[in-house]
Amino acid sequence: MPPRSVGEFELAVLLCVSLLGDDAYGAAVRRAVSERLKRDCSVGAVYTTLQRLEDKGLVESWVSDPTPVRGGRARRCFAMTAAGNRAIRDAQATVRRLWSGHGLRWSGA
Amino acid sequence: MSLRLLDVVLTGLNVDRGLRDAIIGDLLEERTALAAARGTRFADRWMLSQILRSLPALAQATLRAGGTRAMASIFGAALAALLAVLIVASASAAVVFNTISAQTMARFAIVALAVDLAYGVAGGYLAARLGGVAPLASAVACGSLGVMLSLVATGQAMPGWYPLALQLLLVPATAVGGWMRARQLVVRP
Repeated sequence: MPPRSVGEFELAVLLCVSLLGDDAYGAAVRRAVSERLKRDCSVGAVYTTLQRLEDKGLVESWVSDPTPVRGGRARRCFAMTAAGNRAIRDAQATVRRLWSGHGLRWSGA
Repeated sequence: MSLRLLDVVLTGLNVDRGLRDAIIGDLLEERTALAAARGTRFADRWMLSQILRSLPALAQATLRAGGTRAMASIFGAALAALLAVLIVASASAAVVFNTISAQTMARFAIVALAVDLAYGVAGGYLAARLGGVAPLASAVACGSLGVMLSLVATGQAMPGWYPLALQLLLVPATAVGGWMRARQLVVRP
């Protein structure tokens, strides 16, 4: 299957889901994305992006048990799929290709 | 905006129950943490800003998910509701203008505006009821079509402020109708 392309915000969300591992749920992803992009992202934007990534098969989700601090509501947790990991690697490779041979120094890891 | 109101708005945008619960639960959880760290006022302001900034993305996602069929359903319902309200409003206006003069009518323009806005609420409710995909979106679409219509057809007898007031208030009035319908659709846990 060809790799699914992701936009900039989708990539940020995907990377945060990957970084958070078992703790990846809506609010945690929103906070992580906001911290990395240095702007307060809306919960609506994050969830619609997560939904889109799930539709593309790049993340999968499930519902946790309800908790009192959430008014008896459940968390929606997320995890990367193999296709999601491939999409991150492809995005990284694309950026490296774009930077290769450029006069400015590449400071990425 | 309370979380209960947000629940109604998200229902009106056809956001499914699981996603609604996840969004509201997240906001509640983050609000509690923020209130403990920076005070209730700051936490409430933050939550209101989150809600308002989330609505465009969620509305866009609803339309994108439904595709052309959703758009047709929303605007079809809006148009049908607008036509129904226009027929009733025109019939009642014909009766009123036959019994009282245009000058008298102009003096009671504020009453006429209130009646038109009540028709707006009814139209919004009807559009929301007919447009099953996203009730609130159908109601707002009905109001927007009404505003467009009022730009080309306004009562000659009415004072200058009347069409402007109607154009400003019609969409909120139809949104109230849509909200009333969405409230009926919210299933309490």
